[in-house]
Amino acid sequence: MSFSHEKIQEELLDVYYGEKPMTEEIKNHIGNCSECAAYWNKLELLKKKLATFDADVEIDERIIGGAFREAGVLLERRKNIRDMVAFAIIAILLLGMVGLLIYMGYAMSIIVMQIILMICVPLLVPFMIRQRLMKEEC
Amino acid sequence: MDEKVLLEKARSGDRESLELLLHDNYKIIYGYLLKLTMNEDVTKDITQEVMVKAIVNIKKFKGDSKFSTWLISIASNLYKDSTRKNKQISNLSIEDLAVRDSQNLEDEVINKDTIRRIGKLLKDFPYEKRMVFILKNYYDYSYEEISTILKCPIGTVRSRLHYCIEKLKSII
Repeated sequence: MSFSHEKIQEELLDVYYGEKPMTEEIKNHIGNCSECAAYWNKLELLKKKLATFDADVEIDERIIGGAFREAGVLLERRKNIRDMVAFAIIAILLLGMVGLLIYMGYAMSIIVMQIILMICVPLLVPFMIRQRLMKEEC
Repeated sequence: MDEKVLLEKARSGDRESLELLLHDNYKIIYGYLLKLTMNEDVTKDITQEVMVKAIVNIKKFKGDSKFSTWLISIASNLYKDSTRKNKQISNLSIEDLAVRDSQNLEDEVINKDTIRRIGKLLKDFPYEKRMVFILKNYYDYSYEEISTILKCPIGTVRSRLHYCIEKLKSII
């Protein structure tokens, strides 16, 4: 195969796949060169043969439904991980603040505050229940 | 409904729009993967994986390309991964693939024989070359689009296609 045939045949493939336009030069060459004309015919024949390999498929709704279910589980898992990371960060920050306050000499105040909270919060429970019941009655 | 409108709705969390988009592109993805894997079970698994990825990452899709191109790109990556994990996933039964438009018994026999030979040759191509060939021949993507999908230079796309055509020519 001469260089020009090789070059033309490379270009023919691009023309065949619509990447380049069919120029007059190529057209004339195919008209006069049996080798390149045969190459072009082979490409056309190949197109026909390859078309038979293109099987028609039916849409399987189960695959689409399954994908939505699997994606739902995946998104839920991601959300849980995000929440856990956020919780860990907040917990570390709070613990850090408490540690800092203890280091600064506020340990006694923290203990007193904790005792007050532990006594006051249970005392507030009946009040909170009453509020909730009133809301439900309304 | 227009793909852009559906995409906009899907990105804002509308499940029906996303379902419609996946429904519209199902045949493209499935057909592409079937030609790549030549195995229906593997195709079904990867198709579902592609859809899961699309659903999970729909907000990341900016709409720079067609939705089908994005799905093809996901499918190609997943296929590459599965090929690396499982070297031999193709146990083709080419005869099982449907033959299109067979006019008569003689045609059907010739078609089946051609399909068998083409399938065998395609199966022997390295998967990178097979991907290029399928995307160009069956989906008419441009060299540029294929190079974006497969993340390789346009020259490589062109040379891979030439390789496949040269090999396929030999069976005609």
